[in-house]
Amino acid sequence: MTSILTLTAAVLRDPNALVDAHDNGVDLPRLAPPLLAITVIGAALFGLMVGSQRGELQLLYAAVKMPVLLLAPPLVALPALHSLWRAAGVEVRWGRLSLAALAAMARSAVLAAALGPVLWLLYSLNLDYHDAVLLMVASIGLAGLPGVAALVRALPGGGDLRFLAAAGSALALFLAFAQTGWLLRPFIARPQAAVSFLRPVEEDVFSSLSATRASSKGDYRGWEVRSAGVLGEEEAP
Amino acid sequence: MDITLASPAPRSETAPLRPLAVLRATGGWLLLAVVALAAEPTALAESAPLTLAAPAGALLLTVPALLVGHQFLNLRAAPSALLSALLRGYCGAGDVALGLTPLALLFSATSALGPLILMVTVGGAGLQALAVTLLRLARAEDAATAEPDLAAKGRMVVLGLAWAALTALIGLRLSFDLANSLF
Amino acid sequence: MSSTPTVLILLAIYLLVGLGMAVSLRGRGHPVPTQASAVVAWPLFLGMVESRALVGPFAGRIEAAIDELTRALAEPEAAQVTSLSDLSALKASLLQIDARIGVVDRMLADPSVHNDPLGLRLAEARAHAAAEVEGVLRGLHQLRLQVGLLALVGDTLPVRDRVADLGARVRALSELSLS
Repeated sequence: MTSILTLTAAVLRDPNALVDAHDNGVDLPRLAPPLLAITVIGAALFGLMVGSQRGELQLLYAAVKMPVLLLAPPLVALPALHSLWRAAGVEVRWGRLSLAALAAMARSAVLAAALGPVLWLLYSLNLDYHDAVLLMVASIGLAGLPGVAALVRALPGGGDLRFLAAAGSALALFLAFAQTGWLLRPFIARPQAAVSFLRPVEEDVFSSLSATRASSKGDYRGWEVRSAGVLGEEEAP
Repeated sequence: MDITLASPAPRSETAPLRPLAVLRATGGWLLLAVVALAAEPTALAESAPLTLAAPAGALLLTVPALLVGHQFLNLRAAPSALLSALLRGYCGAGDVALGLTPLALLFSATSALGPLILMVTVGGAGLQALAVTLLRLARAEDAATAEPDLAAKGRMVVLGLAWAALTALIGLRLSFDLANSLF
Repeated sequence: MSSTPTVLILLAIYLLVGLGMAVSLRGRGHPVPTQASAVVAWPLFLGMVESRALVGPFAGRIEAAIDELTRALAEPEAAQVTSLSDLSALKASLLQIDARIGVVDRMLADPSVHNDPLGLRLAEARAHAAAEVEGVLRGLHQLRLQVGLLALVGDTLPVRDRVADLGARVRALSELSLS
């Protein structure tokens, strides 16, 4: 069985070569467990660093939730990616797309874990809560971009107006990632708030972003939470 | 000499379109609407058919104009080739709608953004399909032309752009009805 | 409608589908880590459903032979012979070769291929590969019988040698060559 260390080096150095070498219809079931393990371990280590901002139980909570944050959005967006590229005339087999997604997630997770110590160092300087959140988001973005690039590079050539499919894929991934991150919050606990594993479903990530921007400037209007959607409950006025 | 066997070649654009592909595409639009509006069952009955009406209606209303214009301008591609390109565009958009249902489910299940996501996905899938179909129509005309004919190419470009503009406007008009039913 | 039951229902449906995928993979001889991966990340394995179509003429017999051998190796006396992951790798390689034979069979179904000298050589190579796969399948069957002898004789060495020999034959088959 391909060792985890060998696979880790492969996803960092040349994930495209890894996908090309194992895109044969039979290697996916063998490679999926170690690649998922790399993703989970890398994301958990990054989560530990994020949780260190507050410490206590936040360490464990963030370490548990971060792998879900890295795994769930690609799984949700994978059918969209497949259909977008097919609509552009790029016939990508599901197996190859899955392998590319696994390699991309593992790559991002390992890079995020490598960024962890930087995050820990900056958090140890007692950053403001909003700065801490922005730093976490920036780190995930920095680690995520090489993963997304690897995924797109692993797709076959040809097709029409590939940039449209690429833009649609990026949008689908971004939306899935943003809402999943919102659902799994908090990764960083507010200074006055108790440490909790999950918060109730409230509003959505985009309305929260505008409220967060305002609150970072001291304007706390718009923080009256209201639950919505199938999973939320409308609170009595 | 070594031979390494590869997987069977992918489908080409000229392979016949199966009725199942059209059914799947149609089902994709309806499923997207059902999933995106799961949190608003009262809007579902009215909005689901309107979700299908935007792409299907735009196509049905503009295909005759395209075919008539194509013949009127003495262009050379066979009408069947044009119809094939149009149907493939419709099927592609429907497949994109189907592929977007998990994302729509994530938002409808966890927020009030289901209707907005529905509008964004209908618009996005429709735009991509329109652009790709336009290219394929031009390619179908090129394939039917034995010798380069700049004038014919120019006529095809104008016809294609006019058709795309008309389809976009009709699609927008029908989407307006959908938005009215949702918001 | 309360939110928590809805979350649980959606999650339960997701995991149920994953469980179904895991059971399907188990039936195809995939090891436990792969099955566990399928439970949590089953969308990645949806392509395995379409890959069922890419089978050759020996797929059913390969699955049956490996299943029989797996059951024989489940006996405590046979545990030292080989690992189930090695058997899984052997099965995966055989199915890959079988899929390639299937591709060639579909090519050879076109009558015009037989008029081409290269097509004739392709047919010869196909016959050679098919004969080798038949030989491996016979070897797997004999191996199962030998495992049965382990209970009486207790010497795993001849059986292990045979497993290594079969593995080498399958590796040699992995490239279709024309000399």
